[in-house]
Amino acid sequence: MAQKPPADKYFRDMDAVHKVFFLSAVAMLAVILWMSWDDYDRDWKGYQRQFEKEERKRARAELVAVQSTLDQDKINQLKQDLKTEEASLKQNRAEHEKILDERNRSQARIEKKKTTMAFAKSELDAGRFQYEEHIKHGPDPVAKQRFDLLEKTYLDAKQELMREEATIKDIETRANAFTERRDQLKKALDRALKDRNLLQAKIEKLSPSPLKFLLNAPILDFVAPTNKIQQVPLPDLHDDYNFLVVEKVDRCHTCHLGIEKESTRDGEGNIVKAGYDLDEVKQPFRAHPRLDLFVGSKSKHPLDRFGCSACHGGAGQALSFLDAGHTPKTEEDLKVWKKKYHWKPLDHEHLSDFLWDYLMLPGDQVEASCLKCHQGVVEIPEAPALNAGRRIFEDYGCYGCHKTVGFTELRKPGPPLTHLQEKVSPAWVKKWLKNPKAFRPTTRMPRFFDLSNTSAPEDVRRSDAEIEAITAYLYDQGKPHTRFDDAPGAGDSARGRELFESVGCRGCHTLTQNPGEPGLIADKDRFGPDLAGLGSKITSRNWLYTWLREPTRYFEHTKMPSLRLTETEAADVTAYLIGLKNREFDAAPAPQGESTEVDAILRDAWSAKMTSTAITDKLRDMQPREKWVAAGQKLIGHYGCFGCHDISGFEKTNPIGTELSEEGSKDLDKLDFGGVHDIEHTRTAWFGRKLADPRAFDHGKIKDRLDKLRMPQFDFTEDQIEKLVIHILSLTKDQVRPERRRHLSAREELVEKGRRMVRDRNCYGCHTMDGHDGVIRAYYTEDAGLAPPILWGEGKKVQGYWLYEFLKNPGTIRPWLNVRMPTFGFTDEEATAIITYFQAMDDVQTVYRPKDHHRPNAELAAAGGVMFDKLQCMKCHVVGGQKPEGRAAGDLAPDLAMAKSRLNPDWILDWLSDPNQLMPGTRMPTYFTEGQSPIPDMLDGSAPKQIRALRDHILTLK
Amino acid sequence: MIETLKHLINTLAAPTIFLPLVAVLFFLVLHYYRLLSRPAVAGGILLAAVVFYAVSLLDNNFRHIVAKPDNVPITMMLFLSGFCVWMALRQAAINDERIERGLPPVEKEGNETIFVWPDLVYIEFLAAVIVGVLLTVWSIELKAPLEQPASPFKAPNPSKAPWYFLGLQEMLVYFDPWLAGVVFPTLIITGLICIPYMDINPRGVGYYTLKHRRMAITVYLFGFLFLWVTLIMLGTFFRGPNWNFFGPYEFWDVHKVEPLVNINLSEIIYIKILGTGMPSHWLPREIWGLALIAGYTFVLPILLAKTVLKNFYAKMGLLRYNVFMFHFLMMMLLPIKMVCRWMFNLKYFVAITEYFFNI
Repeated sequence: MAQKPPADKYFRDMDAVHKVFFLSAVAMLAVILWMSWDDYDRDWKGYQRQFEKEERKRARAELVAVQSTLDQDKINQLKQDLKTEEASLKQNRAEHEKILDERNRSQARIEKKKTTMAFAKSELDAGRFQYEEHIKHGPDPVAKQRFDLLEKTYLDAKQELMREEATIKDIETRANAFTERRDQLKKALDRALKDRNLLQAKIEKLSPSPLKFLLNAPILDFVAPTNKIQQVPLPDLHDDYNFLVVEKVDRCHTCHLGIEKESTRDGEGNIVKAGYDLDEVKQPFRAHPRLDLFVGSKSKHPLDRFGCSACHGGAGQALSFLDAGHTPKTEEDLKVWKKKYHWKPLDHEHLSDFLWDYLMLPGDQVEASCLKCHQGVVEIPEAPALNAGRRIFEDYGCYGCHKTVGFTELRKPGPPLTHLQEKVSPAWVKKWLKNPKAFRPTTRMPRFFDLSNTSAPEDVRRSDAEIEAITAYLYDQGKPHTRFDDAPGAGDSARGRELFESVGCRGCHTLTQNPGEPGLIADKDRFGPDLAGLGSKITSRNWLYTWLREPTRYFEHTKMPSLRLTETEAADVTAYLIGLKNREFDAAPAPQGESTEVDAILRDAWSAKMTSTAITDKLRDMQPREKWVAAGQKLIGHYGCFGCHDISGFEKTNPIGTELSEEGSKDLDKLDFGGVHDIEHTRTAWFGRKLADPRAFDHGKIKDRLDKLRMPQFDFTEDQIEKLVIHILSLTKDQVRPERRRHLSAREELVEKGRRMVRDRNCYGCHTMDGHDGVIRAYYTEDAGLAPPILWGEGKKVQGYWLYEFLKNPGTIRPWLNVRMPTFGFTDEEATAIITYFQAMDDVQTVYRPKDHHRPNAELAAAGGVMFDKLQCMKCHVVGGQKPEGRAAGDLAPDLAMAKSRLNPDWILDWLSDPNQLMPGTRMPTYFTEGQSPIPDMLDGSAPKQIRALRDHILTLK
Repeated sequence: MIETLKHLINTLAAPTIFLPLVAVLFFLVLHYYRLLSRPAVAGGILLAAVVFYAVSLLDNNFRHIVAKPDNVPITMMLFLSGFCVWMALRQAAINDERIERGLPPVEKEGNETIFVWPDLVYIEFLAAVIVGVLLTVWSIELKAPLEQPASPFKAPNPSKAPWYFLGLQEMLVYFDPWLAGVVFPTLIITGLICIPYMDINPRGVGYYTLKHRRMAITVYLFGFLFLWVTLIMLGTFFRGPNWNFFGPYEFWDVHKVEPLVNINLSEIIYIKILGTGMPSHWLPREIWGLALIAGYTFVLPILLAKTVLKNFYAKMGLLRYNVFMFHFLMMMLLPIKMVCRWMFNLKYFVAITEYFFNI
């Protein structure tokens, strides 16, 4: 063995080294403890403890409430009885115990016999196999004998057991006779105290205990902790990790523990049991505000099928506030979060893109997720903000330039410009292009010129020349197109105004007398253009006259219907509208392009492919007019005017805008923030700024004219921008598999098809239907009876034949109304689509049946006639030519002579029984309140019979 | 004032200035090592570096880059490299002074023998414990910089190699992948393997010295400090989005644009000088570049052996000399190419794009 060297021969001072060793060992221990704690200490555990406390508090309160409702007398009585019973049981104790002993012995025998039988059974099973093996090649008597023996043993054992079981049953009956009453009392007592006992058990479970402490202690908590991560796997929803698509797993309710706990309320809405949906509950414990629709187990989107992150976004598996991708809704939230959670955007220190692409969608933006599953519908249910965004997108014709899935089959949003020389003057076009809002403040035509990146004087000069050039091209291409009729006479302007205000023009058009003043009609409800100052735009009486009489002559695909104005009426309205002038606009000078600028435009346009000397030569050879037209053509291509308008020469050109079909999931680094540094680096902020000032991202950039951003200015309001951003965010890559999306039933498909038509034709402009209020009703606040009818239950109400005829060729139903149902010129397909839409909405089966399939019973009809008079139906209703006397036009009720051909006989029954239910607020009185007849002495006083009689009478009216 | 200073430093950090500056500094350090390695001077330099770092951390852009969990070790590496070089140079300086005075080196004095236990193993164990503590604290405090799932459609910008390969990645700016990624790394390895076999210098064994091994140390440290450590630092701190260069106080703007047009040697010859237009076949087109590279690789060593390095050649012998020269010249190809790029916008000496053979 080697000798230990003496300490003083060591190279280092060992005492010092030992000290270092001691210190580093202590440090190591400390660091290991720190590491364990760091691993153990999670926010969600704290939330779970806090929630436990909260639950305990509530359970205690509940316990107090329950205790006060207990029937103390009854309980005392039961307790007393139980005591007495126990006492009497004690007296018979010896006998009782004897029987119990007997039972125990029997029980032991049963156990023994059970074992015997089990052995015999397994022997038998094995023997059966052996026997089957033996007889494979013929009968074997020895084997059979052996098998029979086994079988007998088993059956004997079974018999034994059954006998013993019968015995024990008998013993138990005898034993129970002793305790029967006591058991009953005990049960009754338990029942009386059930709520209390349950709550007590719950409180016990929620209270801290040494065992619980141990189970949740660091390191020991791997065994069976009570604080656990809650998660819900969603097998057919997925997260796309690019190389791997994995099933979604949401753990949000690890902290959001009260998400499903609603308050229990009684019939009057008083809270019986407080849940977590009350205002005083703080996050993360708040219940979901719409448990009827989301999360709740009975809702359409239960937690275990949809989770949370499928709609809200964010990282569903994450367990910390920051990693989950919480996004503040308001500035206020942001401030609080920064303090409380050290919140920061989840990106690479603002340098690059996000660490998780699908951060939570704050506030109304969550509606953007609806589109993942709800596609192919005109309006997404329960998503008002998203629907508003989609509507704005459609109304303003964004899809004209930006190809977008779901909006590809819509008509070009603007009117055709292939023959605009027939309609307006070049001077008007130039002024309009310069600033459309100068002529019509509410127009949806955006402004292309003199915006934030083109407002320098030289840019304005250039813009004026561009306007000149575009106008030149449009007029150069204009070809004669329309056959015009001559307006008869000068027309009566006052009469025209009356007509305009009464026949229904205002269902689609407004006429703002004082621009800037908020009108009766909200922007979202405006369909056709505002007609103020129309005379400054349209100067040809024949044009307007022809347009009013037959709009499709000038514009085949117009949405403007014909109101069947007579020649005189049309002339009157023409006179009225042409007389409306916008003096300010008329007085403004039209922009004039300088001839030097047209050369500059062409130089810029050609410079990519031609040398400057070649351009100079070419320009020298061109006439000025030619130059303007050539420049105009280039510019229309540049600005993409043909995205919205039909323009000759651009029939097949693709729209110029970025496709938006997946814009909502576009990589952040593909959005050029340019020199804009005052906004957050988020999609929301970028889209918002782009919509507020489409040229904003040219700020601080030096660009050639043709390289500048060219999206025009729509002057969206903040609210519109917010809604549009939600819509854009909804346009994402497909993330939900087709089989998990919402599928429309055949009936719903029909509804959606019709709904599309109804929106395109602006039926909501006049009719209150399908969740929309008739816009025009705003003008009829004084006498709603003069407004166009409300179309509720129309599919049930009217006969398909009749509706078809009516849609194709509307006739008068309510003679007292001045407002007219327009002639839309529906094709057969379109008319059918609308009829099936109404019927599908009311779940009416489309059945072809003979026109007279309901034949009124003559006897009943006669009785009905008597009732008809008694109930004074004709006090309001028109019947054929007979009008009720002394009633104002708005107070009349529909002509009953039309009922036979128009109404569904079944519907008349429903209507007569309870009109208010079918159309709340109707002026039709309810005669048969709660099934009681008002005329007890007819037809046995039976309400159903009387209603049938009335119906049959009505169907005989002529 | 501060902005001007920041701007100045940003400008100085541009590779065209920064790398020559570092090269000059490198040779100055080796020349004035005795002065610079004095504790007071070295301490002053360290203090200056720490102050520079600390003050710079006040700048947002600087802090964002330097404090990224990814980049923290690079700072450590810089300071540790500096410390190790100082240690060596300091001891070399003391020894060289002693040798000049006719004394033996420090290491040759006294008994060098120590005990394995406890003088070696105990200390190693202690080191393991302390490093364990440090690593644990580091892993608790600095979260692993995990990013979101990789996407085949979306490369991070900038896309950076692991820090230890950033020197190689920097070479990619100047050479094609087959050279920068395959040939040069192989040569680095073979070169390192060859070092013991080429070292025929009997002096300087077992003690620190610069005087006795000036050539060996200079060549090695040039390769290590300049072509490896410095390029790693450059790649980490100064290369931002699109592999554009950014000064230490500059914002990493994704949209920064740098002029990037370069031309080949053949274009310089046929278009700029001769004005005859490019030959259509690659051989006559690239013959100049091929001749240049062949001359550099094969003729230059012979010429040097006959002239400047006559003594060196005599000492080394044919095989050793050639192996050494080959590796050395290949190493020097990088700085040469850098200078050519900066001065003439040279893209390739040889550009046979038809066969993906570019040098």
